[in-house]
Amino acid sequence: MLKINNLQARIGEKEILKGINLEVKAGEVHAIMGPNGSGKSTLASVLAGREDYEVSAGSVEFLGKDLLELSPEDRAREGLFLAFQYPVEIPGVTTINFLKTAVNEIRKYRGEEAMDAVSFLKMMKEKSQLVEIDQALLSRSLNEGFSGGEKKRNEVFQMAMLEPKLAILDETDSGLDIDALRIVASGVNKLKSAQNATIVVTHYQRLLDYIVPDFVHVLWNGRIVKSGTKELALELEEKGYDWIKAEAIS
Amino acid sequence: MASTNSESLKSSLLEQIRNVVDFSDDKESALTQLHFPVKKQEEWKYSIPNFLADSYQLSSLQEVPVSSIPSGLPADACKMVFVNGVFSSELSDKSLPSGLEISFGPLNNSIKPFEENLFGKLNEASAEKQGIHLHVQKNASIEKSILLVHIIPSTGHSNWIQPSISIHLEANSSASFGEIWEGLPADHFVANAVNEIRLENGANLHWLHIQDGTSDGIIINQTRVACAANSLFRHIVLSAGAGFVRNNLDIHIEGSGAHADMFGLSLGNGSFHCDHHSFLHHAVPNTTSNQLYKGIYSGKSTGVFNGKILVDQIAQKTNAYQSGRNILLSPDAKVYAKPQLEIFADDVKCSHGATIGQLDEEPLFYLRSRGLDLATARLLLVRAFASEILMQINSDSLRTYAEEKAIRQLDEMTKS
Repeated sequence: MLKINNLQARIGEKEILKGINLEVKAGEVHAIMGPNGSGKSTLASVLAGREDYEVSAGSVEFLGKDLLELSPEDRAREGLFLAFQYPVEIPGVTTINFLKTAVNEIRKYRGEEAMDAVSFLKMMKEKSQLVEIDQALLSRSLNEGFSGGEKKRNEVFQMAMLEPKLAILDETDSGLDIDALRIVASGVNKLKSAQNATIVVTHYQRLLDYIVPDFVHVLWNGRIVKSGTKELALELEEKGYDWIKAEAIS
Repeated sequence: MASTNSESLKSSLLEQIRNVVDFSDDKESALTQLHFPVKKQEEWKYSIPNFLADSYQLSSLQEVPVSSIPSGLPADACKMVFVNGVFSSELSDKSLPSGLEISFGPLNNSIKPFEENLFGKLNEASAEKQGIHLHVQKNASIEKSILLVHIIPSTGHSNWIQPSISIHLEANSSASFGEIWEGLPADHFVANAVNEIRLENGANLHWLHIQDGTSDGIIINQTRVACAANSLFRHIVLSAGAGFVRNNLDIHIEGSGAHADMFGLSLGNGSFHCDHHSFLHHAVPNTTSNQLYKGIYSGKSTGVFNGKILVDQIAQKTNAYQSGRNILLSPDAKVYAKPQLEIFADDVKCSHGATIGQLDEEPLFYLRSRGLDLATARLLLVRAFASEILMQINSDSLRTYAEEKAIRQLDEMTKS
């Protein structure tokens, strides 16, 4: 589904990603871990098409297409979804209103008919129950005055509505208490299928108790320095990141 | 434009006014002393009307077909139609809401005399002939919105029109007015409009001013408002189009417990020039005001916001807030913002501020990452920005009407 080959990216003069290689197949859950500043969020942003970063080398193939050639909106329409670490507050735009536009733009791109209001509301009701988000929140301005937990739940709700093939969760656990974390993780798990894949970007192992990864990769200094299975996450939790850094240098 | 031309324009206008009204030699000599504004005057620094044509025809009431009335006006409102600034009973609704009375004659212009203001003085000179007074009787509560619909027929020459409208709300009355300038002719024209508005104790007035579709026209609107004790005045102006607009809104809060709201939404496209000068005078203790002017400018349009709040020494416990927020959608669009506070009392809460920026990148990226293309994302964000002003319109039908105009304009602006 996703093939990242020697991906290098910079912001201004600063090189942040220095050669990432990663392959994600349908049905898989990959966790990307690493200390602060290792490039985790940059990787998520570059994949979603944030224009602050300049890709200086490498390639990314998504479902057979050159992902880096696509605009952010076309990436979304092809089935990529980024759950933001810091979801944006947009006064005056309700979640329902913008999502209706988003769902139909994506359908149009795929040559499907626009969804009528009744079907849209029905879908919204189902999905909001799935991720346990209060429907009243969805008629309010997007994320305005939402708690940290509500914002993250809204991200997962949007993911449920847009039905992406690849979801990237960028530090979705940050700022969440354990109850909110459990609800968000359970929403993500319910959306998992053999046809889609998930990349979980996180600093802590905690989230991985709830979203169990098939593979764990450690990012440090712009490179994946170690890959393994979920046991690697537990080892990191116990021993910290220093031994990985030492191993990478030697 | 050379000053000799502007002098000859002035003489020609005076002569045309003299043909329809008598004026005393004193008045005439006072007028000849005045001049059209020039750029070095601070008040006109960013909006010099050097676009005035060499000559105009002072136009008055003429017969126009009913189809000249813009379509789509809210059906539940009472229409009063003005042709070339003069009230047309023929085109207006036949029955007026109870509690509303009409009379004719010159305006008092007592709220703030025009003095050196040539546009104001010119209007005053013809007001004897075409001034109209709308009285809302004591305790009357008029449910229907009253629309003052301005029509300028296309005549093939440059019209100069001078509506003079006085609104008087007696004690404890309430009313909602819509001043509608739209669907104006493609010909060049000058609308030199004066409104004088007086709210007596406890009166409540909601005023929506829509200026739309001035393709090559100049609208100069001077509105003076006096608010007595415990009155409530809300002024909302929606300015869109492609011509030149200069609005002077002067509000004098003269009675304790009074409150004034001033909201503006300017949507600039093409070469539209939109200048809001607001002056808010807190003259007595315990009064409040709130101003929010928003602008979105694309193409080569220009916005000017000059908002002044004056708090007299005796006007303790004044609360006055003013804010101007502007978004530039194109590199050639410009905004000049000049908020001013003059406070002579010491126990007041006043604030002002102005911002000018582009659409934020972060919300744009957020919306795009959900599958919205750039144009749609921009449109969604500018609509949201505008909605904060539009939602201040009390009447549902007027709000819907204004929203449709705003959305159509924003569609155009974000396409380019």
